[in-house]
Amino acid sequence: MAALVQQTTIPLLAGRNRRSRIILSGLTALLLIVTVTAVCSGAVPIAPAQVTAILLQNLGVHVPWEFEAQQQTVVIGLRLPRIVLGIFIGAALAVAGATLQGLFRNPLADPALIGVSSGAALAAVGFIVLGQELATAIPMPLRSYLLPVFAFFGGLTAVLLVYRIGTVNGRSLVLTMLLAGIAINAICNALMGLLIFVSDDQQLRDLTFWTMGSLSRNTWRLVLPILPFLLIPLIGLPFLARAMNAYVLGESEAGHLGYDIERLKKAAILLTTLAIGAAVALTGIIAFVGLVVPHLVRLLMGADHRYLFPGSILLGATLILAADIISRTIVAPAELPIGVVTSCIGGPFFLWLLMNKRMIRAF
Amino acid sequence: MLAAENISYDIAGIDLVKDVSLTVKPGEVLAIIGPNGAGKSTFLKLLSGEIRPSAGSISLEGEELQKWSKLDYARKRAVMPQNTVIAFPFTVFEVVLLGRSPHIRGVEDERDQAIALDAMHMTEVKGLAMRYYDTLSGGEKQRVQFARVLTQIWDDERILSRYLFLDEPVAGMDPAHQHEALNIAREFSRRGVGVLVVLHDINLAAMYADRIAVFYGGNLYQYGKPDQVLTEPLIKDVFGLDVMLQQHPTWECSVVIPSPVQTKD
Repeated sequence: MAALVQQTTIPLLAGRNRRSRIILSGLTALLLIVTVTAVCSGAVPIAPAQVTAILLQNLGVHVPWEFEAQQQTVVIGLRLPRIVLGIFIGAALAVAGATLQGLFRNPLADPALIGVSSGAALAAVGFIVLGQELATAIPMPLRSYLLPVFAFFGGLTAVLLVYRIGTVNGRSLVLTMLLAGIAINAICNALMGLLIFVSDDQQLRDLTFWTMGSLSRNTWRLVLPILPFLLIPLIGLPFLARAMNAYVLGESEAGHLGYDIERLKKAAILLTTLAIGAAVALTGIIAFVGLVVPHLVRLLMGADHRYLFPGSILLGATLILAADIISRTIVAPAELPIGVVTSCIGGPFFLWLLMNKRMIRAF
Repeated sequence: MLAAENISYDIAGIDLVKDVSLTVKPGEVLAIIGPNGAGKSTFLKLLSGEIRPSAGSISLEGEELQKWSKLDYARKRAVMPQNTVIAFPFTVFEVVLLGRSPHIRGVEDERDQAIALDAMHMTEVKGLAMRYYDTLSGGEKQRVQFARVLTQIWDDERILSRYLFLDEPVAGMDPAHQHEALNIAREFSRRGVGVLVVLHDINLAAMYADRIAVFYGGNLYQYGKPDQVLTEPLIKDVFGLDVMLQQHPTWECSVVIPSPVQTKD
């Protein structure tokens, strides 16, 4: 049959790959532009030249552009950690969303779907309302980690519970898992409602942060310890890309192609939980990014996970930064919760896409 | 050689496959026929390694199937599923290329693409290459999946014997494509592939199979060459269908002509 192999290959794949690489380069450029814009804009506008000078001075290089000490404080102490946080959160949420959609073979799957987000949020809210005594028992320097740690383990508990319920004799049943996720979400939401009912005014404001999402919890001291939890999934998940491609055919089919499906599912669940748990811990529930970003990337480059994952990482980071610029400037000096912005812009945009691109068939 | 020896499979005490011994040989088309619920698909799942027998053993090239890694087995045997739904916008070409998964690291090279194109040419879906899989009709999807499994076990000098498992491959295909698909399967067998195909159409089995295994109630009821196995009493016993067997006018095989089923007053 080797004789049948044609010498002249129709460059079907080469064309697609080239196009995808161009789009990935474009997305990278877009992320850079939005990042620079994010550093420059805010309640105190700072010119790009001054930002450059500030950054270079921190690296020990002096340039003639002048800036004020206050501007330096704003850039280094406030905006940079916030932007780093935004990039990591956006990337992690988007790639986690892409993974979950593949894992459930359902384009409507969402990080909030399997209960990680609400599990993490419930743990956080529970800690805010009931956990203050616990906080006083912990040495001061560690106290600020308590909330993120609680959120992280809340998310992990929820997903392990869903996974446990959805797994029979070592094989996971996707539908059962989805339904279990719905049930866990309902329970978490009910308990959160109960907690909000018994909380005082200050606690209520903190709760808004948690359920609406915000990048305002953004000092280096808070952000840096959690970054590895976001970095591990960002590096690890793209390695699952080829197996996820096979997985769209179905569990048995991917197994017949030589992949260890149980291992794939465990790796995917663990890494996405890590990403979403850490994201919720730092910024609360930011809706829409994990659901819509992968869809946008599929529209741009197709569904191959080898491009979907890097594309989602880039576009997720870009969208979060753009939404954050809006949330910081539109009602300055006050700040809108970023989850409100992402949902307000993303929801209608997504509807428009659905109606125009006839993506309905994918559902 | 892929040999099942006295394998059984039960779920909650109900035997789906009982004490079956059967061998798939490279170079041969083995068709499995039998009524619904006879254990045909379960047997195919057992041989494909998807489920493990509760008793008995399966050996591949003389070694226990469990000892083969999933990847090594995937390089030499492909399984065509009954129907495959893809929820994402994958193109036909991308779906077919997935068949190369066990053979590549990273990205598909030009040879992989050429193989995929040739397989698509064979199953007549080359013209659909850039269409989205989920926009195709049922029969077209089946032909795309067929191209994918052919791509998986395409000729490779490093791999000595290869196996092709087809579970009701022609369901949903029009008559011409049904015959073409089975002809391709037979062509592959002549090039050293062991083909195991579950069929409902007894005539297709009679025409294209070298051996026929008849499953009934989880048992291997009868096994042999088509003209030895297919008899009017057997079809009556196994399928509960009254038929007449006749010699095909131009081809060396029997033709099964069913009598119409009528409601008795």
